Amino acid sequence: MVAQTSLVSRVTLYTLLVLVLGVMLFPFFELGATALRPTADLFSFPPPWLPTHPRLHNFVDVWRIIPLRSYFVNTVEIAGGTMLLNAVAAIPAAYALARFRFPGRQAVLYVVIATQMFAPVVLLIASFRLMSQLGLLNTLWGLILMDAATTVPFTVWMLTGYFAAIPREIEEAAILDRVGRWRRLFDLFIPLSMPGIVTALVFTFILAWNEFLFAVTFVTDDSKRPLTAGLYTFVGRFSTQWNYLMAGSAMASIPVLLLFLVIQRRLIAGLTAGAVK
Amino acid sequence: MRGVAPFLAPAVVLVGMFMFYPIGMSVWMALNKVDQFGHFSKFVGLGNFRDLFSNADFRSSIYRTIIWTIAVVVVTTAISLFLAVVLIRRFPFRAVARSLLLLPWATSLVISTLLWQWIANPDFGALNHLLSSLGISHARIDWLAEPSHSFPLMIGIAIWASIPPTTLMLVAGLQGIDASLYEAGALDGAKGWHTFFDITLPQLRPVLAVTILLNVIFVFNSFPIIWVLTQGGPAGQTDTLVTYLYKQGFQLYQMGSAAAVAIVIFGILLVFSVVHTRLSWRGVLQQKDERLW
Repeated sequence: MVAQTSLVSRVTLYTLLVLVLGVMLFPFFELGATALRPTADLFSFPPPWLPTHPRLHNFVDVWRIIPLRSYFVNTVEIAGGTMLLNAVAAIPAAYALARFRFPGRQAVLYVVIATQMFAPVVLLIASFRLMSQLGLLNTLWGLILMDAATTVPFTVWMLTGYFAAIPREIEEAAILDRVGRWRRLFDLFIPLSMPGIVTALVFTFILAWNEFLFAVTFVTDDSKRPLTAGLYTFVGRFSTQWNYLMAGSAMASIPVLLLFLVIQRRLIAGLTAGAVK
Repeated sequence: MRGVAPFLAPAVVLVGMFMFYPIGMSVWMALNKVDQFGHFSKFVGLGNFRDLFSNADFRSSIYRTIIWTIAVVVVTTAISLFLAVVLIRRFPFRAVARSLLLLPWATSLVISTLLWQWIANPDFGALNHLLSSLGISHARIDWLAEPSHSFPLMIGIAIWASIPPTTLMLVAGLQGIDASLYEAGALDGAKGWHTFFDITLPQLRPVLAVTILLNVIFVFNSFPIIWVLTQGGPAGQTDTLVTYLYKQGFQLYQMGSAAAVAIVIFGILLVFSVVHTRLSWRGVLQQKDERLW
């Protein structure tokens, strides 16, 4: 179905495409339009499609109205911590799974896949109990540990693929030179797999940035809340200030969107790994 | 082999402590009465499960979770397949179209849902305004008050959120199809829909299987959309198993019963994954046989 489709069917296809994309993007148009509306205009009927008096200053005021600064700092710490913990735990494990032959290796790989089914919600009740026993409720560390534990299997899975794809000869030369395993990991495998490592780690950063279930359950102290839980609580308390909520939401989403643009190609290849040759 | 342990240790400790230990503990909690502070008061065996399954609200939330998952995954897959097939063609602004599709994926589900909540506001929201501008409905629809409106809206939002990752994975799958198959098809006179059903769809099968599996697990477990919009209300009429679990645990403080819900969720997904993997592998094997033939 490359070139020989008729004009009519091409027009139909692209009309449908524009229609679907329109529905997909309409909420973001609404996000921008609402974020720019002055509070006085918020509840006019019928609602205007575009703000009649757009007010960029909402993006400044919102920092006073919602404790965005603290939400941002907490989110960066949680997402950054999750990413670092992922690096420390997943890189050596993936290297071992890709390059060592040891009894139970196959079983470990199966377990890694199976953990994809342990959705956070299944862990929620027992991990709440664990967090409270460890004194980690209302701490950023509690969220970092849970986010890291739930993302590590995917990172291991993706990196195992990358490490396994590195040609044997490269490693064999190093083995002949009696280079130790850790040296080989740091001097050969990590530099050669940098794009894959960055993709996998940035993805864990994004997942932790967007995480909601643990954040809303384990943290009740507003000064410890990340953006997702913070913005959600803001709506509960001040349900009328949608313009500020939208301005805050837009700012909370932009860093993630930029990161996504950077990693998307490799990430998609990683997600479909095994299914795509 | 010697020396593997230090490489695996950090991952094993982390995942063991914060994933496997909670899973095991959930099983044990599900067999006990446990209060909100995590104190075990009594071993009840399968009592929590018996209580759950004798509760009509629980049974209907199982049913609702299945409807929710099937509706979202089926519609998502169909629309994404269409989008993917269009997006691998060359046309002006293709890169822009693909990048724009990342927007709903990159945005946190909580933020997307809050946005939709505002869009669905009965008086000042864009949705009712749009419907009346297009002449479809002039009624003041209160989207979140009635389950008959809010549940379809939630399904719509979940589809909206699932389309981007699904489409982009399918695009990757389509790009992996050997172009010579299409050339051979063209020589045989295959056109349009025939090429799609005879070449594209069978070749795409492994990727489709992966996206369906990921979507089912993800949608089945999805929490933010329903929680932000209705918290499963009114009166539990939009509860799925996930919001039911949350309420059992953190509103009614029945931790044992909530853990039992977690085990039910896990069990259903496990059965689905096993059956799904079996079926999709069998399909792939059969395909190979046909090719040999």
